[in-house]
Amino acid sequence: MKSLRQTGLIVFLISLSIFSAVNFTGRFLLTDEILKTKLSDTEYANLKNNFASEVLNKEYSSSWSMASEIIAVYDKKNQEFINAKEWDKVMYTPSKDIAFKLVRASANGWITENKLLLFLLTFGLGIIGSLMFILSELKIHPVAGIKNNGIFQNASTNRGWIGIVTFIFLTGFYILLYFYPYALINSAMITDPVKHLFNPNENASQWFLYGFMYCVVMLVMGIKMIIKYRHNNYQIVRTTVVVFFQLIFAFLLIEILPLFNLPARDLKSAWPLDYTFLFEWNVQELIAAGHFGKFVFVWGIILSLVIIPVMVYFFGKRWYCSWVCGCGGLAETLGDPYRHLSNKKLWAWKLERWLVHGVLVFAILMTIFTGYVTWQIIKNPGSEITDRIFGISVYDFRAAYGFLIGSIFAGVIGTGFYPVFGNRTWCRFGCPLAAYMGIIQRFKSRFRITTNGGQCISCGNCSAYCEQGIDVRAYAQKVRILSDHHV
Amino acid sequence: MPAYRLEKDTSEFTGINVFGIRMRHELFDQWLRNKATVQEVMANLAAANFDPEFYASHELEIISMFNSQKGLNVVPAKKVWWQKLIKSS
Repeated sequence: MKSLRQTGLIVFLISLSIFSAVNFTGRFLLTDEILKTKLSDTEYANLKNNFASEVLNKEYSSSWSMASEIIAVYDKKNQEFINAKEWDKVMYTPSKDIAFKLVRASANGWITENKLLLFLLTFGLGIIGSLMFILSELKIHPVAGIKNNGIFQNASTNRGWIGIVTFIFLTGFYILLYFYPYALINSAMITDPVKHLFNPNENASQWFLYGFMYCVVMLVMGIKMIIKYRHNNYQIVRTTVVVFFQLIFAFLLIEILPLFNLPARDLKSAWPLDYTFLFEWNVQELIAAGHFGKFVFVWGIILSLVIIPVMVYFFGKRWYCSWVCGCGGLAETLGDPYRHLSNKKLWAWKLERWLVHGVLVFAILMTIFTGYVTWQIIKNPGSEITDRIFGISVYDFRAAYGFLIGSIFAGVIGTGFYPVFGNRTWCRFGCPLAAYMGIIQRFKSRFRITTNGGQCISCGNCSAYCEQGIDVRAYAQKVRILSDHHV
Repeated sequence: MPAYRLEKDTSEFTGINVFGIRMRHELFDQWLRNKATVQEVMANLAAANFDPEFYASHELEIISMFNSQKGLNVVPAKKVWWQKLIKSS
């Protein structure tokens, strides 16, 4: 069984290597035809001559090299317009998006011809390898119950070299995904066979790749979670439900709704975690999308202002954080092996309260500001609007939030740092929805984590393995419920 | 089947073997201090359960076994669903 486990690990690592290595290869050729179909008319008119002399009909051997040159051309041309003060010609599509769609369409060669084979070699092998590793556990440790033996001696779970390598890999993946998506074009193409099951005419974007990977990781690691906690019916039900929410609401519905010309929205994602809720494009799209769009808009408001407080009152904020939320779902499946790494020191808890409430204030200010601008746009379409308050543009404010909180905090730090800071870093220190629910739970909730009289023997397991970094034992020793915030 | 000590004359509850079910210390403390009867403890056994949600409950079996052994007719105190929701046990 040990050898089956090791073989599984090797198979998984091979699949991961293929998945990463494909991005360093490929053949990319940009033609005038691609430019014409992929760019808007103004973009095409602006850029065709520059592309013709620099990028067109030249063969590139990686998506990165072609994208870098496209971005250079695009930025140079835009700078020329800005210098010449030709504001009507300046292009506002982010350069990384232009690069992504052009390079994506320019791909040809063996990767484009062998997508299904590569899919089986990466996702297929990866799943098989992981399951070999995970299921062999049933034979190696046949007795149900938690076994954390050696967890602080293992290089992957004690911030040892394996942990650091995992950390670099995860962080790197998130940086590429958010800021240099064109580096992952070949990985995205590998998921085309799955994307085509939903829509044969649309290719997989980096977000499809991410969403699909997210589901696969949560499913496979969810099985690991259920095996680890198979003695505990609560954890079995909880894990099943959170994986179900991810698969149905965050993935399948997002793929299926557009097929019926309905807006693709994650119905479980609530403001302020879903910080784009009052952005003008979101509201405009929802209003334009008929009854369903209006339902989604009203549902979003009811979810945040009625359902969440009521559910927190009855069940505590865990009903969302560990039963519904995708971030929590990933943390409790992929991140579960790192749960003991969360900091339980008093200063971490003080920092946590400053940070998480700070993000909530940031989110509320941004929402009020952007909501005001959206309201003006919807009410008087086409007229002059005030998009500046105290000299700050609403768009810059939004971009700052999206970059600092949406990308860096939630993605790069929140998930990339699992092997360093534990699996609930984002949820504890950054999630504005958690802060909002935390305030409700603190003052108005039936739910309390309690200790059972004199049952505590101060073994410290509860504190060591609390992924949210709560020093449970400190409360237990004082026989206090966990909302008495005075350790 | 929890072992219990039934004082022949008074039916006073003096102790319980919980057989792996986590029980609320607070409630038992109260029962012991107030010299509750075994019948009362048995009827409210479910309220004393400290196991996590979704764990299998065995209170009904325990009570029916208790009844058949002692020839008593203890009826478990029932809560309707909305009472479970708004009243803590």
